[in-house]
Amino acid sequence: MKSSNVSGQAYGFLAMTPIKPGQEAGLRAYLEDLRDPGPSPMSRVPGTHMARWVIVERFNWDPFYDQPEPDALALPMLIFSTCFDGGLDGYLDALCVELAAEAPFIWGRCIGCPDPAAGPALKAYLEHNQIDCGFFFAAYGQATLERVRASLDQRDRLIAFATRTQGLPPAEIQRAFALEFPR
Amino acid sequence: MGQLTGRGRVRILAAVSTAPPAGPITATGTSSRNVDGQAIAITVFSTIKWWGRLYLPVLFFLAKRVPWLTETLRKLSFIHFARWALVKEIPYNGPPQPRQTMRYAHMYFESNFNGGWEEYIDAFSHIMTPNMKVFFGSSYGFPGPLPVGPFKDYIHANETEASHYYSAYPDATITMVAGALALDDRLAPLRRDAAELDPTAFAAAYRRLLTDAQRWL
Repeated sequence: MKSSNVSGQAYGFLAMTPIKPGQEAGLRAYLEDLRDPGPSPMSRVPGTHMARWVIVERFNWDPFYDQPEPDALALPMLIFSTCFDGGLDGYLDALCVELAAEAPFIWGRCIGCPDPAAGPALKAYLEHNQIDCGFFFAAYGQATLERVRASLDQRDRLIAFATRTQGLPPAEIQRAFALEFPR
Repeated sequence: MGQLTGRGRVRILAAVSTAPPAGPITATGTSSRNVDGQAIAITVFSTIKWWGRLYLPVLFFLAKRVPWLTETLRKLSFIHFARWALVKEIPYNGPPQPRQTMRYAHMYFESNFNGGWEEYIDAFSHIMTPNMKVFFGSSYGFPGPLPVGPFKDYIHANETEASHYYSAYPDATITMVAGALALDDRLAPLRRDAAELDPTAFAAAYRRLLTDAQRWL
């Protein structure tokens, strides 16, 4: 595990894969429609805090920049970036299982992706195309997704509890507290 | 054993009244594809001058190991995750991908934040002025963080829209997450001890909890 990809217990993974000629439009449409049938498929990959797919067609160049020449990408690239809990190895194992339905339509449109786009071969492909972070910042990198969600839920419950129990005798509040927030 | 009245009651009401509104979405100023609930994705590539190849790895090394260099980033309290990467070459996957030697290195920057896109860049420019110079100073075309107008134009020009963006807790701002985690730490002792306290002691501990918790609710 390269420490530059890690902040606390959080890992930042970034991969750039070249899109097959003629596949960019189909890939873009597929990714943009991913939410239509329901939640993001990334919600199935345990420990994922935030993730994105981005298609980069070119590096920007402006004649007013002092950059002597443009730098062209030979092919549009698919960027996959995810921030998650724990180590890369186990995460990619889970990702390659959980995204088995989507992967052929995503990385399957990229050069070099194994066919079928699944399992250890897909994992190796993503690892091969990983770009190490220079610096990865996580505001609460020590907190796992499970803890973040539980803490947010607890916060909401405490607000509701405080409202609900206003004015009750302490003994009643205590009993209700023990039920609402068991040790 | 009396009721929780007087100071205790006032504190409870104060705590509840400071609870954030449940729903207003603050994510504004960018394409809807860069947004998931409160969270916004920004993805930027900038082309690096020759000396940036040498300088940026040193900067990244120091940023990781010298916490005060990124203290402002933490204090801004609206960034969940951010990353910088120096892309010197594109991984090769065989034909039909041409082997490509890039003329320049490129810096990849992404952020996952909440609030408005405009306000985010404003804050970066005005509060993190030195940091922006440090991180983007080796990028071609970087106009400097101030005035903010040209800097926003620069980010816009170099930004790429996400095709799909996901947040596991889209309703939560970074302030809510940080507050919830702090509250968890603060609540844990009372959860542990509540059943063993007599009601008066519990009431006192509960009041203290709510007083402390006001800033996190």
